[in-house]
Amino acid sequence: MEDRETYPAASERPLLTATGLTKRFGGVVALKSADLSLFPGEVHALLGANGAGKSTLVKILAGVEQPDEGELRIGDRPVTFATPRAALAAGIATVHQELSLFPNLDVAENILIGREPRRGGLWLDPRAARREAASLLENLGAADIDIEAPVGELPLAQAQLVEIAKALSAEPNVLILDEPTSALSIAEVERLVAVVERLKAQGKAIVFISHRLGEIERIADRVSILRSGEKVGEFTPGSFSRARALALMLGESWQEGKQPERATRVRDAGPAVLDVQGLSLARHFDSVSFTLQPGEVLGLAGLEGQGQKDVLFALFGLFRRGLEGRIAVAGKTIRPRRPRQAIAAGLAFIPDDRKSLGGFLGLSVSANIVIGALDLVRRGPLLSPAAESALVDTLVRRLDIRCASPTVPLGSLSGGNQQKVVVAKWLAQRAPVYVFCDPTRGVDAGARAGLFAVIRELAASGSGVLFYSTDISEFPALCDRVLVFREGRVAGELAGTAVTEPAILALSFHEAAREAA
Amino acid sequence: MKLPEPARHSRRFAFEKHAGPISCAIGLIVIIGLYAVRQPMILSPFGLASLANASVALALAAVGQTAVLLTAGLDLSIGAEITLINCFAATTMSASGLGIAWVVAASLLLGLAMGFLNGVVVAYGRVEPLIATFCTAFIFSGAALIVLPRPGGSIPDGFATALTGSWGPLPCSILLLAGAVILVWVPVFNSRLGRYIVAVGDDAASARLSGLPVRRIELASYMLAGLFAAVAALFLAAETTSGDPGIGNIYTLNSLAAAVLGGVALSGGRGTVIGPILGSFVLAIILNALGVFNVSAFWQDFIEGLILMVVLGIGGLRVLRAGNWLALLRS
Amino acid sequence: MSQPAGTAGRERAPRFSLGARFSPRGQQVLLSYLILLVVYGGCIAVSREFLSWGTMRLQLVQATFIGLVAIGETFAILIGQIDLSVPWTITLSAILGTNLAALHGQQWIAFAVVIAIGVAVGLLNTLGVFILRVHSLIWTLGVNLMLQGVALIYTNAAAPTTHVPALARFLALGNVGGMPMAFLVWAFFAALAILALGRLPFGRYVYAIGNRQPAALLSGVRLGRVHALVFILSALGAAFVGLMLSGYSSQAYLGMGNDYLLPPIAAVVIGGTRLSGGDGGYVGSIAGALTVVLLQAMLITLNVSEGARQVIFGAILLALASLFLKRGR
Repeated sequence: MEDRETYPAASERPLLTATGLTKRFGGVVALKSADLSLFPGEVHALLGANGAGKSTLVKILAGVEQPDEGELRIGDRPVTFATPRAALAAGIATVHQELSLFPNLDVAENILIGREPRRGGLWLDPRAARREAASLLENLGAADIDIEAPVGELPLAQAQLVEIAKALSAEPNVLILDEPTSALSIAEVERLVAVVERLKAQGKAIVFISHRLGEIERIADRVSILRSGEKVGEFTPGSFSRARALALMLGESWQEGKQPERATRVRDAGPAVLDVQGLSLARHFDSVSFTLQPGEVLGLAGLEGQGQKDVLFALFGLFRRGLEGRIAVAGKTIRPRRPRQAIAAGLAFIPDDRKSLGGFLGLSVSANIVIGALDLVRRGPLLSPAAESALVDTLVRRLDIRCASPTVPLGSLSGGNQQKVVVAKWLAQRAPVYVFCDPTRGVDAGARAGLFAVIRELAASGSGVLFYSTDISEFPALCDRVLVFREGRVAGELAGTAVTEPAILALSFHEAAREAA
Repeated sequence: MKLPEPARHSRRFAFEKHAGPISCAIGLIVIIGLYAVRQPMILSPFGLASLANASVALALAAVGQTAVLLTAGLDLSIGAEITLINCFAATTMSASGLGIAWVVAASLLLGLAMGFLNGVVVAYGRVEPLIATFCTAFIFSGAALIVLPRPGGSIPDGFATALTGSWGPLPCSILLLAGAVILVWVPVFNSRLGRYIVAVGDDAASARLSGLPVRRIELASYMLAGLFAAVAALFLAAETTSGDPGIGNIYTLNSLAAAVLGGVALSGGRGTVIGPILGSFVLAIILNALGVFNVSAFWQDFIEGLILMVVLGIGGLRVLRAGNWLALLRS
Repeated sequence: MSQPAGTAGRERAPRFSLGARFSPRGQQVLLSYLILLVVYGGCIAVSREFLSWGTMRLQLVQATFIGLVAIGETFAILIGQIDLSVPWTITLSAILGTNLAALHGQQWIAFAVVIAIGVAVGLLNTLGVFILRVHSLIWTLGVNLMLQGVALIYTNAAAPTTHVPALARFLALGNVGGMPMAFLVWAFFAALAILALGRLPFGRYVYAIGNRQPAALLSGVRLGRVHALVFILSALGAAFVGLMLSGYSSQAYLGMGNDYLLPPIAAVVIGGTRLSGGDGGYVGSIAGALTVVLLQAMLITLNVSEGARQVIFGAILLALASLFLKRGR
């Protein structure tokens, strides 16, 4: 950690201090004892890979989530925010990454929601509202936005500016900007930077989150680096360095130049189990082509929301229309429009969201495992409990699923074991292609190692594996080859020993990639 | 929030927003035109008053339903609220020593109280609106049966003619509807509450993030529905000059159909007040016109059910456009 | 917004603790039978009549009607839906079946009508609920209204000529070895329902859909087919009960199904099936049906008016719903 005493205005008191913030979701620690001080007239950037805890920290400051431990202080006064309303009342306004707008309300109504100007203290005054909203947008250099258009009609970039104007209309002392620039053009970013500078001059404290290192370098005074829920470093004003920041974000493995041990598995190019050519879906991804060989683990990497997950969804038939391009599984062309068709073609899909997609938490482990393979345990029209328990026992042992008995509900298992049950569901019938969509999300290290062993075993037995994760460190540990996605396209491909965290990160981050070029 | 497709043409959006009221207005003109061809008398002041009298109760119920629909809620107890208040008014207005004004005031309060109960269960008890109001509907209609086990009671003539007669060329029923809208709806929707009601229905998560008191807003919407149900019930009492413990049943689903017909989105956040009113007139006059077109009155329920299902089904077709299976299942 | 990991533990926290020896579902079933015992005790306290076989035989027959409707309703609620088109499916099936049988002088027509109405109403419900995705509570209520219209049109609101098939009369009123035939019919179909839920792939799909519909989709479950089957079974059950009821009262009349909207749902919910779907079963519904019938009989014995009975049933449902049907914040 850098030395805070070097800050020239150290005498100045922070506007908002967070100490020891900890937040757990189930058994997973999303944020571990994080400290944060926001000084007036300062931009404090939060930097970290996916799942590093930035969002959780922001949600706590905005009153969306409540910390399990730790304390927030405004000045010297301890505060707790039970709701976003309380945080707003305390002068903390947030530009939310997923936007907190109302599609059917118009721009002015959105900007001034909760602060509508009123006549006689009672009646809405639309004219005053339009005036106020227009001047806020003008400050943002966005006077071209139609103030009476419903927000649902605006392109994402304009909606993002409306969200920013909305936060500014609260005249906050602390402004949190959670990836405010992700959809903005360069000119729009410039204007936002100017606004931020002005707010700084007014003595406001600003929290800024972005994946673009260049922006952070320009805007931020102080930078905190988070990794795996922990704050691993803080740069005081003027001390920021890209190389140090990347090193902190990646952790030790990279700093020591250590490569994870991995046998390079070069395989014969036999007939591909999966061949994808020119796959496009409007607004999701564009011209994605790749092949998957039997025995290969192919990673789809990139920052969150770059289209890689949608490609997996599309392969599994989750998009009902609009899919263009060619998909062939084991040489047979398919046009999957529903999961059944993808399953019939030989795809198995392990989703990230065990709670709502993968498993049936209220049903028994056994029922979860056999749901896709009921024909295997049927004797005549009836299901055979003996056959079911034989099949389930085999799989439970093979995957080392820890449960008191297969009859306990899935919800009573730990996250890692739940995920293994979801995998087991597809093992009853061997599929040529296994699709793992962020399977380790919310899973502890031990279970992760177990899951990786399963994935390798599947590949070794001749299946092809597609693997997507929000945790970049998992790709080098597991994948033979990695496609890095950016903005819906394959930005680059890495194979064999070239699959390293810095390489993936470089291809993922806009600015870094541009520099490399 | 999830943004829909970007940058659609502005004019199309505007039409979609008003498609419900506009098509209802056109439909209304067509229906009254057809009606008048068969039965020219209907265009006389008396005829128009009778059409208005047949429609106003539904229109009031639909306006109340709309207040709840706008928050993305649903009130399946509106019919039962109407029934209970109708029975209460019919048993107390003439028989008890209370004056008409007191009974009217008590009826409105009763409506608010029932709305309050719904709102508390939904907003604070966190029960699904559908299930919650389905249950309270039985409580309210059961209570109506206790108050008035079989059709009966009486309504003073003065009260009846005051609401169903004419005031100059204007039917009093229309004045009542206009009065309720102007005195309740317009003020509410020109203050912050109305704006928040729409906002909560538009996107509840955004509403929470924007610091709106979501629960209180939901509660208020159910109380508004109860209030309009009370006015509808008083009008029905005046129209039938008696009480009936089965009178409100049809208003639950018909108010929903009228609102959806009038362009109110079941998913919340989108709708006007004029749409459901026009939708109610269309529905009520279609049913009223059956006799004129020699359709037996026995067809009434069937046609009501059919209209309801077609209207709801058309609403469902929008959902079918969803491109993603998971989005479809979550809708 | 997705949250990592989550509320797994919270979701299945045991609601009642009746000793660790029983699984959560077993505990629920046990509880529903305990409720039945308590209500029966209450009945006996109200009137000694309830100790006589004659009285209880009557209650068993009444419970049969509710219990048979509750089979389809259990399925529907297990997949997270509800079927409110039951009352007029009952009435229409009874009227149409007995009237057509009278017109053509053929008993079997009544049974063919039961099947035809069951399939038609079931498919209509599937169309609205699954394909058009209208909430089942609204859609099936609309279907109910339309069926009421069909019945009114068909009869011109007059009492129809009916010919109640002898078999229907036997099923409702007959006696086999001292047991009411109706009860044996119930026992037969109850056994089938329990078997279907426990030992047929269909049952697994029902639980899967009710537990987590998107997960069922991703597991390759045919959602549309299961929905259709459930709604058809529910309508078939109601149509069959319509025929039995016509046998029971030797006539068919408008409104004869009106008392079968709430009690079957109450029976299912009292039986420990969650209104949100995915959890429960028919074993509890049996206790629920008996409980509801005894409760009704007790309230009638106590001279509680119909209105008060509605209030009581509505309040019971509301209480159960607010205990078990929470939505997010």
